[in-house]
Amino acid sequence: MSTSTDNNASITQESGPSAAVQDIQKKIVVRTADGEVFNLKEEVAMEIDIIKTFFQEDSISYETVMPLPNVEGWEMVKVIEYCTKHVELKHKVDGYKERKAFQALFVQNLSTKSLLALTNTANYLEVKYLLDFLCQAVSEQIKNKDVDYVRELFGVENDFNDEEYEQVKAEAPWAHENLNNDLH
Amino acid sequence: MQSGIAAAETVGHNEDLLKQLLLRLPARSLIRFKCVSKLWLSLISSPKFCESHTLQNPIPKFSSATTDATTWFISLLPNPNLNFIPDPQGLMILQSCNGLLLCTSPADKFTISRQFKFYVVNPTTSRFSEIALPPPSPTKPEPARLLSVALAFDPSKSLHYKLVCVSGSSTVSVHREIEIEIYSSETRTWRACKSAHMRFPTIGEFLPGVYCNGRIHWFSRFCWLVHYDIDEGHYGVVGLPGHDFSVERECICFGESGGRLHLIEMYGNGIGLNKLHVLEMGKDYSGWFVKGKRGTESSYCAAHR
Repeated sequence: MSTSTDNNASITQESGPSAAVQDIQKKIVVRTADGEVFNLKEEVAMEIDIIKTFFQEDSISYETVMPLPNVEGWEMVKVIEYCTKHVELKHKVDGYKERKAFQALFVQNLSTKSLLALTNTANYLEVKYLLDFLCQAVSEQIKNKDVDYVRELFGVENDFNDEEYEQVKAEAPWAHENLNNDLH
Repeated sequence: MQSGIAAAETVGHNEDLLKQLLLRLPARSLIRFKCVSKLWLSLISSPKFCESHTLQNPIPKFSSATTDATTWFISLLPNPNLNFIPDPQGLMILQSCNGLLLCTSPADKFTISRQFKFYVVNPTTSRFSEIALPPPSPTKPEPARLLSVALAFDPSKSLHYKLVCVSGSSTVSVHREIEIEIYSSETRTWRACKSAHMRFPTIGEFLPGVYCNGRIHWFSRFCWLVHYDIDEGHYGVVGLPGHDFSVERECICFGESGGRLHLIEMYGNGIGLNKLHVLEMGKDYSGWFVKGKRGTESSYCAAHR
């Protein structure tokens, strides 16, 4: 692993008063699939198990830039956003309302497809509480959708023939009524 | 977003991740999504998945209402039907318990006897079991009368259910020799419990029971109840305090809600039954406590939560 030579990486120590500040705020650097580089505060980075394992268990120097080839830049932004908030709320006694408000905003402008992509990312990065939250959010959004919508969303092919499909559907036709297929 | 699409497809085919998503869906959605693909069908139908889902999703409790041996229930599922159970006589629902139904196919509404088939049904998955009652013991001097069959099911404790069958000697007294037999869906067998001389709140007609906290409860129209602990095998009798025969009362609905027994009664004082109150049984059967009152005549309500 070579040290990043990007301008964004400010890991080299400088002498002078600013060095003290930098020492306190240790940063970890990651690079996503699209080449974007992110500086994470150490405490936030350690929320992400795959990063934690990489640097702590394998004792790799923080000067190394960790590649995340399965993660897109926009996804990293969202993950950092969520983990930063999580760390912030850890120190609060009663953060329930704040967490709920934050979570509502977090998913507000994301399509279900994007949420699903984030779910995959959270799974890859190993951030359990984010994964749990995203799974819950996705299931909320799809629970009243029909079978075609779900197939399209997940990119799943229908491998039933007509007869087989009708047979499964006939077990509980009431489950296929009163659905809401609004685009999300 | 291209990467979004690719990622979505990954989730769709990543069994572990898909399972995590599916576990959070309500039963109705899961049943629908069985039609998505063969993989989804096998995932959702797998017994292990069903178990995990039941444990993660507390089943909404809806009480069974019993008055005068007629039973009805309000379902939280839209339009469930029991057509998947083949029985030419049609089914009567006796009791509901944490999502399972106990049904029978009686010749008529008022005669339920040992020969009839009993069904334990899960209306959500359309699965059911047919259970025959054990024949009366030949050593008994007189034929035992079937007094009750009750269903005990608590998914938070076990995914198996039990049936409690109560028979008693024919007599006009509520105090009589009672025999209890318990069926376990785990072993699929009946076992007889020690018979006891006790009060049971019916003279002869069939009485459905209500399951709550490990016990079956039977309620008499004269406002006292018997509770029976299925595991320990002991029973108790609770009378309605301050039972005043000058006050007319009629039990509208007796059932379980939120882990406690509730009773909805209408009462009046000579003019007619025009008041309603909701009573909750205290801990350790200490007595009924009034939870709420209504002064005006109201219609039956069975789903309280």
